[in-house]
Amino acid sequence: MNKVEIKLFASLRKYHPNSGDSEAFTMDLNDKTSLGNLIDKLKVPRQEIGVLMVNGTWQKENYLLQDEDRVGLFPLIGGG
Amino acid sequence: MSKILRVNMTNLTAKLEDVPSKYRLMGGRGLTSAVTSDEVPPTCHPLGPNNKVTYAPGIVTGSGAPTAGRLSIGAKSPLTGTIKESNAGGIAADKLARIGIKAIIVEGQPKEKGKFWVLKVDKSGAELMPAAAEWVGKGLYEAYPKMLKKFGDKVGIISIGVAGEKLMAMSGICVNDPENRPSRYAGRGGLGAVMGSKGLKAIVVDDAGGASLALANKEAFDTGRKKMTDALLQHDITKPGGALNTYGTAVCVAVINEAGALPTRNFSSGRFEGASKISGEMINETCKKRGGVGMTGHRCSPGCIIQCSNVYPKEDGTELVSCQEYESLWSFGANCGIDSLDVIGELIRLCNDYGVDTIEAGATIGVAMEAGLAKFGDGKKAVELMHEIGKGTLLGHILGGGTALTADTFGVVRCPTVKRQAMPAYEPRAIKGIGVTYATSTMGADHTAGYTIAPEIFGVSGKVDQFIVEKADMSRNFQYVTAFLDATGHCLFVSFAILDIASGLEGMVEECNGVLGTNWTVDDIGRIGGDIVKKERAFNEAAGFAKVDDRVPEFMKYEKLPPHNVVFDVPDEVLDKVHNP
Repeated sequence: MNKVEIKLFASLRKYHPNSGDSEAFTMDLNDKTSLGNLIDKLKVPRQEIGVLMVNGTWQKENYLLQDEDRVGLFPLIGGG
Repeated sequence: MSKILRVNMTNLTAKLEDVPSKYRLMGGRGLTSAVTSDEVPPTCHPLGPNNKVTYAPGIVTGSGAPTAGRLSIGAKSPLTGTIKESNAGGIAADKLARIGIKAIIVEGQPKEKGKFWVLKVDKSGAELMPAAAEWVGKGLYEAYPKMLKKFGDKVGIISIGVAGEKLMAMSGICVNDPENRPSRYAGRGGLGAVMGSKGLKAIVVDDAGGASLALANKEAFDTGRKKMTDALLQHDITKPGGALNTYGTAVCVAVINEAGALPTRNFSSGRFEGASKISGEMINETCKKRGGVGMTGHRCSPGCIIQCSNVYPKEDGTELVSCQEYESLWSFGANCGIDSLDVIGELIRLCNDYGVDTIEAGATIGVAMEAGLAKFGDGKKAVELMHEIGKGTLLGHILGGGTALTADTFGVVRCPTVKRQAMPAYEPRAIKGIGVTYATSTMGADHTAGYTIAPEIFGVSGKVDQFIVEKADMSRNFQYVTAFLDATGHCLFVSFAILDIASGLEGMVEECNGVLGTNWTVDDIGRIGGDIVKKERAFNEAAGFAKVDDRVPEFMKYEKLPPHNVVFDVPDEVLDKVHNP
């Protein structure tokens, strides 16, 4: 099992297990769980996702999550 | 026919001139940089009689094109010594365009020091008048209402604060927002000091009797305007209820922090443990919770669809400040170790009041904290240091001189500047392309000069890995497209929509064709933008700048930045290739 820390940002916070929460939460995932599998579990619609990050850098959906990974999901955002 | 207003502060005259044919197709940054390049000796002292400050609305400003109310201001910069263009929102650019002013060029210098004038511009012409005592030496939250009382509450006011009056290199130039707050700034590069050195306190623009820009080709304009409008309404970043509209520019705090690229405690880390407390999400929630005047989705200039500004409330619902922007939240927040929106809001308000650039000010306080003038996280002391600037004490003049002067004064090696201008809120060690832009922009460290963050972090216009170092072509392309965009008068944020939606990009060009009667296509964008950048670069070379100046500070090459533990490893050859492909 891999323990993964997950954070949902901005408009994606509504898919937090405690809907609307912005705090990080952890999930125990089977080995060979991909980032795409995690998105399925969280029921986040693909079209709402803009940025997928693992450990502070972009990853693709086929990335296999490792123990203690830090995942961040963002809508399409910009500005600054 | 639009005119150029030439104001001579030596003789105190203001006269309208025909627009020379060489400037006919120019606007915004394209025009300010052309005038600076043509009329300002590159080796002149920025605060001496030979510098000139030029104000220009964009090509399509005042035409009814959406999100196009930018005012470009250009001169030789007292902060960097380079050419400078900084642009602001607010209501003045639209008004200038509506009374047919293509540019105002302010030159010369009054013989009498310490005396200030106000330039009043309206449809019938312009006049200079002595500034009233109650407008000078005061905070802008006090001075603006008094100027508005004199000139009416429908005027645009382009003004400096006390920092500009005192010739400080971090001073900006302020423009009132649609509710007349002194809050929208051409902040970067010390342009307020150039205006101050000319004895010009403010330009008051009254557009009574004005009209929309005359169109050379209405059909082309209408087509272009619709394409641009549709793109802005459609894209997730720019649409109503989209990311910028809901959370403001501060939506970037979380993602840049997550990417390990939010400069923290004077560029000693790329992650700030207090990031969630100063985020766009937190601003949105606080506005809802406190109610009162608090709001997101506020517009900073007329005709904006994106509306990314906000009004941040105090606990009792009354106004603390507008606006809590990403850059300001970062500079006083993560960069100073401060995690309170209320404290940061107070610091931003002081910047607006004294007339200084929030980026340069926050970066300066960060260096001052590293020097031991305050502890990181000490908001109370940060406020006191800002008051030193407002009072113009000796320490205030050192801080007011900016990040590099403060680092020089106190022997701080970790000085996050390029060409003496403070870096904005993206760490070049963790996002290489923005470092290439900082190093090679004609403006000193400036994220807006070539915003590679769009592909490197947001995945706009394709996704490029943040750590790849071969980004000379990417940065150059962004620098050229941005120079064109800055000439149109559109806000840089339209780029999120039009880089992804091809018809929006076409629309921007067609709007220009509609105003100018040209037949430009999207293929001309790089050429026209490139010409602007090359002109600016030639000015800088003539002012003494060379390849060795196109570098990030040395500490970034040997200090590893957590959490990715990376240095700035972009080879010099890549940096040199940006302007020598």
